[in-house]
Amino acid sequence: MIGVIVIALFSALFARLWFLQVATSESFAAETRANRIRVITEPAVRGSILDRNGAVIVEDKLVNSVQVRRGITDPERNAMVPRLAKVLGVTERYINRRMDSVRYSPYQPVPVVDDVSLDTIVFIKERPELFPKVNAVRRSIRVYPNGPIAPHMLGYVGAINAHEQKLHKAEGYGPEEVIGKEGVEQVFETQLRGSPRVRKLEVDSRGRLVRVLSDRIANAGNDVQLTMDLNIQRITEDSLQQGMKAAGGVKNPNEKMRFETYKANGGAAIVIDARDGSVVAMSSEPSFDVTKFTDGIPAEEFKLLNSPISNYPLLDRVIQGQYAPGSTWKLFTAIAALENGIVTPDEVIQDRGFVEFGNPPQKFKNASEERHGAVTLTTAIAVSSDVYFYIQGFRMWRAYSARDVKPGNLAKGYGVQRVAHRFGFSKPTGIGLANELRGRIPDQKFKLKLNKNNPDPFTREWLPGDSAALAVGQGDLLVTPMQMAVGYAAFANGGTRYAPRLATRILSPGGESILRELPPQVTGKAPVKQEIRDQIMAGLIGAAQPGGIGTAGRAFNGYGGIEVAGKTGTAEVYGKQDTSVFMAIVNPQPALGGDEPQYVVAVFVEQGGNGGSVAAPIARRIVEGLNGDPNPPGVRLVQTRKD
Amino acid sequence: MALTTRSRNRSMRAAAYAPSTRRRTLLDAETTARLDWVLIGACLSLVVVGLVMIYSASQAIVEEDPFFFVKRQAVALGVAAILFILLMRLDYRKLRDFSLVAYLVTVGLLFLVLTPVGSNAKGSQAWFQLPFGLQFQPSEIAKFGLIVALAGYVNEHRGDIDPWRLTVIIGLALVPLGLVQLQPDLGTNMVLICIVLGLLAVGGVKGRYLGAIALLGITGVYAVISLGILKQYQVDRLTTPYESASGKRLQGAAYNQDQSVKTIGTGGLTGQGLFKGPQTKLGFVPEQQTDFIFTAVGEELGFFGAAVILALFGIVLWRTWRTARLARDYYGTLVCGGVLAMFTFMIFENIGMTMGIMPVTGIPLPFMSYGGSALIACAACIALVNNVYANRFS
Repeated sequence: MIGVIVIALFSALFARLWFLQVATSESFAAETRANRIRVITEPAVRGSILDRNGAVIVEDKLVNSVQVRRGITDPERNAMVPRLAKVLGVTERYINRRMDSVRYSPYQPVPVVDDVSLDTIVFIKERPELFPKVNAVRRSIRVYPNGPIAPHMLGYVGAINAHEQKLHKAEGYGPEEVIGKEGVEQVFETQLRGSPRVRKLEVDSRGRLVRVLSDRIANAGNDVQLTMDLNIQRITEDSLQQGMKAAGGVKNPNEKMRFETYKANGGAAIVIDARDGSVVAMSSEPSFDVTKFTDGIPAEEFKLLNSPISNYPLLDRVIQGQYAPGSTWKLFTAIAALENGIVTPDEVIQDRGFVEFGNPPQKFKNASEERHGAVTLTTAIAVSSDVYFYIQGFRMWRAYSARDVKPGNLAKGYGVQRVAHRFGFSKPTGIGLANELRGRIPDQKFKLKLNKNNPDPFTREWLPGDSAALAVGQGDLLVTPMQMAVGYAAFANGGTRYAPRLATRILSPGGESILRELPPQVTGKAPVKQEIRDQIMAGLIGAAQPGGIGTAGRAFNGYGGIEVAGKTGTAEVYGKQDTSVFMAIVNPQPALGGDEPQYVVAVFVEQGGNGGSVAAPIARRIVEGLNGDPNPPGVRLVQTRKD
Repeated sequence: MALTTRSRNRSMRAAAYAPSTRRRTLLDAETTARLDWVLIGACLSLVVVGLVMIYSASQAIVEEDPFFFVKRQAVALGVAAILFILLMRLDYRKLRDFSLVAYLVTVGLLFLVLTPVGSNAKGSQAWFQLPFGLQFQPSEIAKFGLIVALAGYVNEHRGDIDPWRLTVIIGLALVPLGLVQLQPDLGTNMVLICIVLGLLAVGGVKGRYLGAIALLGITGVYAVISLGILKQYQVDRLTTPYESASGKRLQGAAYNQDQSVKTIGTGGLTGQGLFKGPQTKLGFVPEQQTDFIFTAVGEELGFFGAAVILALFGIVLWRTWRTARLARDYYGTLVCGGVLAMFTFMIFENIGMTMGIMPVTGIPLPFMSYGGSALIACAACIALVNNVYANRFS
């Protein structure tokens, strides 16, 4: 009996031994290898980001950084921290929080304070008995030699998180290595990062070094030269801020809301080169201080950056703000109407301030409630007659409603939508920055989906009001400022849609040689017949004629630079004040075969009021900057009517 | 006390033995020739391999002296050898008459270690501090003591273990068990329970009584765990193999066992080579020179080496079992049965624990684990078996 038990137990041991050592040995070998091998990466000097003229926007700077080595004993630490705090001018809590932070590797010293003066370093180094385990090293941090600028475009760097670790598993990021989090820093991460120093160490169970298995040297990251012009960017940011600040004090002229002033609490301004889509400047407000991110931002501050109280400063409104474009959309309505023969350039339409449509008749008024009288296409664009474009909308709707009667009617009825698709709306522009929104172009299908569960089947129909609202850039239409800029640029340059281009080339570290050119990317064609283009452009030029009858005439009063065409927009937003929009084409008629620059400027101000009053003056200052004025006079708001 | 009944017959029995003419040399040639050399060879092989593995596993622990643990174990081996020879010079049947003494000495030592005379380490009040930094662990000797003592009692009542006598045996066993539990040392207690069960099985106790006692033992261990008599770390140790797949961060005993299983797995068929196992060399398995010594064997010597070790243990058990069968008298059979039960449980529990099929308890691997008291106790037990073997014709 005992013999049987003993044999059974021994058989169990043998079986288990066989299972562990022969059947599954391989997997254990891998696991134990991971046990004793530590990979330590030390990041390389990160590449610089240059503007289009080669000026440095962001670079790595070597600073004297005070570090505390691991393995400090508690008594040592308790005595040292108050002294160190005093010398470095920070709180004890700050140092303790750094030292206890899980962000730093347990095999590396903890950086406590960066950019410490040499005197302080000498003071600390001369007194090792007062500052045990405290060390000073030179380490590189991200600095902005021309001041912090374009935070949404440039993004920032920070310690890699678990999600990014997973995403970049193959590239071997160290646990405490910095990585580009947003913007250009993120888009060009692989270029900027370079290759880190990687050491494979064998350690024992207490983490003590046994031997170095391999050591690969670091290679500095490449430089990235942007299409951005530092000076224009600065002017764009300043102009948008000035305009928003000024608009914040303006009383709402609307009768019903006489007692409130505009909030003007968000906005975007863009300058792109219409010839190749290069982003010369892009700015989103409210903004944030990118330098706060260079060495970890406190959680509460980060929370505020994502909060409605501050109106979401981290949101890049250039590509993530979705707005109704208002009257600036009329450009595309006009193209659709002319191409489909819905209206001729010379047809005179009586603008009595309103138009009635339907049965029972429903009144569609001009936003300004003003009569423009007899208007043709050109004047209708210049003075922004809503009635004129409502009528185009109704004509399109009639074609749509008779879509089964005649072939081609559906195309006519969806003329605006088709033009919008051609000009790149409802899809990302391809700028390459993360989380770009698409906007939307409403049509029958969209309404079906939107009102899927609405008991009233009528809500799922494409109605005359939908066509009319779309014709003046209202209703369910949503665009991003960048989409508008790209659309206007395609119209201005004769029909080529470019992806907004952020960088021109990759340079070797230090900018010694060009490693790679980054050519413009054509994302599509948006051809418009020359005669149609000329007619519409005449209207846009009229709108921005300095001192003229156009809606931006006042904003450009006294302007004497390169010719500007433009279009104002005042978009109504349910539950909010109007969005003030202005789209400008600088140099609308470049000489044939010449090399004259042509820019498109887009300005959106949330809850800012009339397009001609706020956005247009902001755009004017930017245009003056494009004319070569390094410091144009401040933004002066003007009184205009709503359009 | 039932044991005292025997003392009346002492003088009579003593007269039955041959005069002691052969005790002039260290160990006379006749006895030497009658030793079970297969058993001794297997044990010595295990001890030698154990010393080598202790060196491998412990060389990095004391930086100034890689042989620190090996030297101390060698001292214990010397003491064990002397004890072995002393026990061999004695006829085991003499021991039968010292059953009560063995019992009282065992209980006395276990009691003494709980007083301030004993010292505490790793949460257990289980050691006596000796000169030269050596320690002595009475609970290891208790295993030997309990075998000698209970075998004596069972022998006295051969074939007549009624429920009352059974109760007496359990009562006798419960005293050292309780004292060990106060240290606390659950591992040793589990070994002691197995010794009692083994002795009773050999003693011809009815199957259903045995079953009841086993059930009682299991209930007792379960009660000890669930009633909070154990420290949390002990509960953790016991319950780890049954939750190893939960994927949580491993700590304490779970980490120990996880590393242990991986380390053995790393060995493969032929092992990483002696002194070349990275897990062993870099100290990833805590307690590797003591309870987890088998992991060093597994990693460095591989399946073949580990199988040889298992085979050596098999030989030890086989020879012990064989001696139990060959024993001249019932007492010899009982003693061998107790030793067999003890070794079987210790080997299975210890090696099973290192391979993740048994819970982690502080039971050393006989002959191999670092630990002088355990080695001495093992030597004493083997001496006992050899004594029975050598005297099987006389």
